[in-house]
Amino acid sequence: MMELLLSVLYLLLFPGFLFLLVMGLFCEWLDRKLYARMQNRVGPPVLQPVADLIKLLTKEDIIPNNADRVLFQYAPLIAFAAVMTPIMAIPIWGPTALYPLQGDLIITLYLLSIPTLALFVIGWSSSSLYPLVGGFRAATMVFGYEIPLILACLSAGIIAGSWSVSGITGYLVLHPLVMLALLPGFVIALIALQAKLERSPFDIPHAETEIVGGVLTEYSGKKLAVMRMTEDIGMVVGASLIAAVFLGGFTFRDGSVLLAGTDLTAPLNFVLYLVKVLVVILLLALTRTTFARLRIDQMLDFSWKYLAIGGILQLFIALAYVALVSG
Amino acid sequence: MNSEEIRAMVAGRFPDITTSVPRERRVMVRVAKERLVEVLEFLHGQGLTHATAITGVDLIDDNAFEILYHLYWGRNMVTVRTKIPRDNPVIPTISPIFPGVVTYERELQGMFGIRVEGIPDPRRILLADDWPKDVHPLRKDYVVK
Amino acid sequence: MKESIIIPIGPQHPGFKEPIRLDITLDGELIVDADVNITYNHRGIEKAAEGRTYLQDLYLIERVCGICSHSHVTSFCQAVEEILGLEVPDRARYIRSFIGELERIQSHLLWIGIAGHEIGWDTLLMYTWRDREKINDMLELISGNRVHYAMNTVGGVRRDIQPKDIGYLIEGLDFLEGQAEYFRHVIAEEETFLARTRGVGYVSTEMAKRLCAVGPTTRASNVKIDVRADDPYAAYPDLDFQVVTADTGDVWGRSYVKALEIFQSIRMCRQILDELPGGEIRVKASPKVPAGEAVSHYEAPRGELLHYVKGNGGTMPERVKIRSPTLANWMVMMEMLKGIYIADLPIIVDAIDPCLSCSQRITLTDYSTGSRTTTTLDGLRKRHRKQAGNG
Repeated sequence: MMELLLSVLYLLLFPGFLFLLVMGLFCEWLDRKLYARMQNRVGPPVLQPVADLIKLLTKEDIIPNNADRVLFQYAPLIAFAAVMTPIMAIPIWGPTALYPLQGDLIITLYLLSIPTLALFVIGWSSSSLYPLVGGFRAATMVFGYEIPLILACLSAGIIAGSWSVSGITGYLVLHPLVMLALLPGFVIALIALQAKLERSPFDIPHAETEIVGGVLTEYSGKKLAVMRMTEDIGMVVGASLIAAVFLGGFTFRDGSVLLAGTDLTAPLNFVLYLVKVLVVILLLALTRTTFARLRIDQMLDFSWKYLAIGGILQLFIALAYVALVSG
Repeated sequence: MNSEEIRAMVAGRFPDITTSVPRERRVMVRVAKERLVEVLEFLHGQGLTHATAITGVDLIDDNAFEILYHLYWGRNMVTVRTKIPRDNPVIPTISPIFPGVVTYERELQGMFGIRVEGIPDPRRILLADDWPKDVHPLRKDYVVK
Repeated sequence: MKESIIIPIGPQHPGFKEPIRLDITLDGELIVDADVNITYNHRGIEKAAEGRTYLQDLYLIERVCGICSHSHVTSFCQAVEEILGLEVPDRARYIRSFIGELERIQSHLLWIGIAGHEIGWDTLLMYTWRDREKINDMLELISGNRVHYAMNTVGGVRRDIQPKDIGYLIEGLDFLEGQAEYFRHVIAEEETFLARTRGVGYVSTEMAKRLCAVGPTTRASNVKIDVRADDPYAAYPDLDFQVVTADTGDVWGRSYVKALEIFQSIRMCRQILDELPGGEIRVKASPKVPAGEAVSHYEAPRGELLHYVKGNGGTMPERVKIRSPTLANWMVMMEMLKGIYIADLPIIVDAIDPCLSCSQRITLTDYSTGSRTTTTLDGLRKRHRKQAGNG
């Protein structure tokens, strides 16, 4: 019974819903602030995303007449649920996650693709031109970044000999220098995450100057709030995954930090986790500021010429590593 | 070529039409409607390719419309002008010679109600979609209250 | 997707700063046909000018456009001065060109920023518009306004450049030159900018000439026309500058031409400040303009501008004709749109630097109240019915 209650608390508070919400809003602020400062602007105050969220929740929620009501209304919720779930399998306060599973790396990648699928469904069901074009673009982009992302993550799995995120982090904690061998994968994963989150230079589905509001044109009020939070949390969870899989070596072993008899490993590891996520966010914000938006054909071109090749290279490095270590 | 040379060239080829040089870099050529296309074709053949604008003027007291073709040639502005009767305002298109003038001919049609014969794109331009079709605002008898 | 979709773009669209409607026929992401409707901003300025005195027309014509306002007024004044037979003092001519070139720099910087925004790169927008503030400050120092400088009058200029301000202006020019070099570098080298503008919206030299395109749009297709060099006015007969052309004929070419023109403008501004003649800044002009006409020619930031003014001996003009550069470039823009990706549409439309307020100058002015009102559709119908009943 206690176990069940504890699980519910974990799900709702930390590291579940509430934590993700707060973290999502904070990271959204951080991204917007960095973007603004790099553009020589002031940028929003820290509570701006909170204000935006509250404002959206109070606004009128319109459903276009011709929209497919069921898909239109429930796609955001499914996306929202899917994007939050992986945090349970990602290490936050140590080398091990809350609920690690064999193969949770694959499950995480799968769950993180669902929001993109939801975008396509939304574009389709909105009965409006701009979301339709946006939805097609979102789906098309998957053909560019998904495979390199998988290759990068699986390479880490191969090196660590585990398909579990916790397993990978655990291995990296014991062999931190291996992170160097995963450097190409780190870069690829960052770029792929930027594309998955549809941020510049990959914000083609949102291109306001071409297709108005993109996929979410017809959304307003609560549904728009849910989708915006899905994007914010997607950034947090994606960054957390990258932090665990590629920067996992920067973690203290369980029970290794003792101060006056108290085990401070977990809190310290949590702080390290925050630092890692913030570094990823900084890199993503920098990328957003520095580049113009690519056209869809240019994005696919780039993905197959550089990202995919890079992913294969990373795979070879991983296989070579395994061969060397076991041989 | 300077404006005097242009004037002399046109006058030499068309002795019966009026030409003048009001100031440096400006040439005025006055033709009857029937010879308009011929004169413009001649100028184009000599190397004048840029048409800047077409101005319509409502000479209501003379019961005529005057149409001025402003052309940009090297360092000169050459204006070829012609008058047409106000109660039957028809002018041939010059777009076969200067394809870039269609916009201005469309404007002429809408603003003055002058019919440009042979215009490749007769759609209205500039006036709102629901502006009445027979109201031509730049005519002097259209008074804005 | 085998069948074509027709997407209406506009009249309300985040990509356009003014309302236009483009009806685009798509096959997948490729545009196969385009039709432009530019009726939404027509304000009836030519008609309005006939019912106002020349002095009132100065204020009216300045408001044809916000970013090329000085171009329009100068051009108009030049035409009226020609009919009156006035000789504008040298100092006034120089000041007119100074303001005109500052206006050009400001317009080009604005455009570069908008171009950045259109291709999804807001950083460029923020930087260029930040630097544009410097020009606004300089113009405000001289004229008192950041936009609509009201510097001109028939016979000369209304305000002088004070000697004590010249130091500030030179500092401003130095700053702008440094920034202009940065933007030129970005346009020339930055990969994503190149990726989105190279080869986009191609117009051949032959097509540019045939469709009588003007300004940086046509100069980027290697057509070397520039009114400042060909038919010089104001101070240009005395100034050293080069006409900038490019031979790529694409959006990149138009960007690069504009970037280089900023340098030429800065150079001219420096020369003007250096050689500013002394003397009067205006001559007296009679409010009654004799029967006569004049064709005035000007190189506005967007290209060749023409004013034709006809006087009739009274205080109000008989006819004022304004052909602004953007109207000249519509045909070539429609050609550019065919056969391209829809993603490239906003940047192509913006590449001709459309100033729609310049091209569409018709709406109704309410004379009895002296105010300008935008009428509703019903209002227009009522007005016509009333007039048709009376006429």
